[in-house]
Amino acid sequence: MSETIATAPAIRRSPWRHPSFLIGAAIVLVIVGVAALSLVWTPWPPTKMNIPHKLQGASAVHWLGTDHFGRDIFSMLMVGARNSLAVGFVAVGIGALFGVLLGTLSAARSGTLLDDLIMRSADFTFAFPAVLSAVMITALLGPGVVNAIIAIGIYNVPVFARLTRSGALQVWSRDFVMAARAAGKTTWQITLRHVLPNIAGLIIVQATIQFATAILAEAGLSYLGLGTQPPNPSWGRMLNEAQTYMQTRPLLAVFPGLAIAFAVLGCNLLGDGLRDILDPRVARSRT
Amino acid sequence: MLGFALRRFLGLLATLAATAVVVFVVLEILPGDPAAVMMGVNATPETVAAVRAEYGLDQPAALRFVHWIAGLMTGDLGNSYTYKVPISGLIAERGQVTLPLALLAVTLASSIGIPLGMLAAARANTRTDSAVMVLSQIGLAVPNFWFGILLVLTFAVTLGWFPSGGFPGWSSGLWVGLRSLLLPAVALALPQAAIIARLTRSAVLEALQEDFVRTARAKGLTWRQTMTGHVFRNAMTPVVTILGLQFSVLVAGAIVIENVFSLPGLGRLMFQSISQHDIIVVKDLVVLFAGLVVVMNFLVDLAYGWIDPRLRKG
Amino acid sequence: MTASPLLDVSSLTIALAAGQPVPVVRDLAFRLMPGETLGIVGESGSGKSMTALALMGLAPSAMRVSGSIRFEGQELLPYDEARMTALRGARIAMIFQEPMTALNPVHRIGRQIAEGLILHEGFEEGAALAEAARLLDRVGIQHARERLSAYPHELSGGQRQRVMIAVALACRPELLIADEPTSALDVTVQVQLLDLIRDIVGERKMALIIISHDLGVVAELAERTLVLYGGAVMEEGATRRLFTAPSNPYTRGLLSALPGRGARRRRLASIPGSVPPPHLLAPGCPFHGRCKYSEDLCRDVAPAAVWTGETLARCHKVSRDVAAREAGS
Repeated sequence: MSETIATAPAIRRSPWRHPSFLIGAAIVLVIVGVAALSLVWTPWPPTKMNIPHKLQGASAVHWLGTDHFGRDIFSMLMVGARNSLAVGFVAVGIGALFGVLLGTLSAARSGTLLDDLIMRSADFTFAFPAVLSAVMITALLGPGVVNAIIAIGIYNVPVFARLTRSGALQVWSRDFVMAARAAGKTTWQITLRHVLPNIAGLIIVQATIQFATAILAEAGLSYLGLGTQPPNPSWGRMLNEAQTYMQTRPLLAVFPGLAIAFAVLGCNLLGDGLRDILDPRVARSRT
Repeated sequence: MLGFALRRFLGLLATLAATAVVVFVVLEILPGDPAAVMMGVNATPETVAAVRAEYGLDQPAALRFVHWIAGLMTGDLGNSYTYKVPISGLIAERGQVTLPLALLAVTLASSIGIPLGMLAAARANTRTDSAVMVLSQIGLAVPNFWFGILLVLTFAVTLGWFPSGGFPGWSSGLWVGLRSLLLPAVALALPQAAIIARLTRSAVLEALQEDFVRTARAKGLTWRQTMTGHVFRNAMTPVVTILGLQFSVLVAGAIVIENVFSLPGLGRLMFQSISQHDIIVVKDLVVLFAGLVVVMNFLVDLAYGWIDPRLRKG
Repeated sequence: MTASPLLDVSSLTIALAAGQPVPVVRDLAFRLMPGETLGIVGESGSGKSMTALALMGLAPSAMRVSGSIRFEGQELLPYDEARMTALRGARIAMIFQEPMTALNPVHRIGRQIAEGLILHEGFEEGAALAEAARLLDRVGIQHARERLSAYPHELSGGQRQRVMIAVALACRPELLIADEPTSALDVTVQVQLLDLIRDIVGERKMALIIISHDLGVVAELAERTLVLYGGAVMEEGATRRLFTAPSNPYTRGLLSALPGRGARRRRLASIPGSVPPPHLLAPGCPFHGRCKYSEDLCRDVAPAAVWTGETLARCHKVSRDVAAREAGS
């Protein structure tokens, strides 16, 4: 159609108009707050066993009850938050660092053998989902939180590499980059000054979403015993331990799972909200 | 179409070969001495040497690789170190649990996800749409193994409708076997259904923006006819892609779920082999899993080409 | 002598439903007899495409359509979806500007042409495809039978537009609405396509509404023309008269802006300013503010139609001139 009726109001860029962003940010802040708090205070020492008081229900003393070793559930959840956040942060950070590097390189040298190689390796790594690569790595190196981080990080690299590459290629094809090249700017100058700032939004959004996935992955690995090792509390391992006592204390299995779901939900909402704010094209397609 | 399929098939073979090489390198060459890894730190050099000889690990790497590939193709994978039984038999037996489980999960996930996504798109920006979106967010956030535990708590422990774990075998009857797989499949299917619903919704919404929708309406098609004849076919492309890709996530999820429900499947086998440091079995399983994923991607590519004729040139 | 009109539109108003409804088309009225061709000329934002969509009942749901649209004596407003669905493609057909995106990329063109036949006329698939081949041939596609199984991306832009015409003609509609059918095409292809449309419309005695911002296109095809600006009719009349003796200042501005007229001018004449968004248009005459004869009256009161001897114009100044002329004679 030759006509565009200016009917839609200007896309709302203000964060205050996006419920996903607000709710997600609130949830994430709560969790970060709890994790930070756990560094200085928890109601009870999380790893302290207290067998006589094992498997108690919620009370004024133990807000969510105790587990089979008498440890306070609430405190364990708090430290578990710290644990999940740390793993997520480091794993996604590593993945993003290498991924963005490779992706930028790939886009800058688009069409060459290097580009092809990087992309094929990335596609290939996708054949091994996070849990599978983690399983392989722990088979190799043994269980432990560091290995879990490595495994999750390795999985994140191709995700960021592909995203960076496609975003960067789009920027490369734009007119102002053409102008910069005509003016004699080098590839690296253009990458630093033009490409990276323009894809920063994409990367941030993806990082938030990958963070959610990392939390899930860490929980899964810890559930299997391949991630965070005792005595460090981990939401995933708490679930595993709770499974044994399902008949007697079913609530034991509920809280850690709720914590995981809550954290993942918050990150996903935050990521969605950020995407709405940073990428107006997505916002338009929702109307 | 045939040329397209052929090209893709060659790509498939190449990727499978590469997968095998990578798995071999990572699991047999990188650790140094696989026999030592298998036996653990406490084993004496003599035991390690004996194991090495027994499993042919003293031969040069290239030879071992060729042997292995030959074994993979003929179905003779040697014996498992842990169980002392032929690995191929082990895989076949465990596969009887995992494959139906994965298929059941994919079916459940698509039968729930696709219609929900279409509903949300057809009623975009209404309360139905928001409800579906909220549900899908929850589905994405819930860890599938936790959901599995909750399902066991509700349907097995409290209500007693389903067994809380284990697998009686297909010989006891189809329905009996399915009963044991239903809860695990639902647990596996939940996050997948959420992803599929969201993707279907956005694919349909995008297709609705296309000009040919207006043409279809101008021809006199009703909304329903437009949706079924024009919109869905175009929207299915990204959905099919995701379905194929999700299969690999499903297979990986099986590792965890089979633990939750104590199902004697491939995932459990993988897990147990790792605990026992049985590199040989792990190697075979990983290449099997990875190979399945590659094949899945190939099938998705084919489907892609069939659905959207513009892609057949590639 | 007075046969009843095929299409009788009066008081057609299309407004964007908002707190304060913003009119996009205001008080439009025209008549179309069977077999007649009407041109609608206007810039972007003049409301011409919205009018076309409203005739088909395909205006976006955010728009409120009011007034009267009578097709073959039947009142179409308020829209009844079942009735509109029965009309679309069968009695009224439309072709659009962008042939690439207007055709579904995953379906073969034969099927896309046959769809209407199967739907409205109950053809069997085989018979429908045979008819589709005949239509393809009629619109000038070579090797029609083989081309039935082609996909849109395998054809050129001009060919795709011909396919679109075939789609529109399939069920032998009485009225064809062509919204900028040639704007996306190369000039040489444009000419061929316009010839094709003219031939077919004449041969089948179809009524045609040709919508374009290109005065040349309208001059080629239309017997009568409507000039739209800001959603209101500025002037209407027999095409030839409109182009040679326009009265409304907007129409005159449009025509004088054409390159090639007045070959001695060195600079292209243009109408100062630009089209304001709908909600900023004056409630009276929408051209108020850009017209060099504007007055307060123009802003507040919509001008009534007045016959100038050549055309029907809506303009307060023209009304005054005509009154003066009649008083003087």
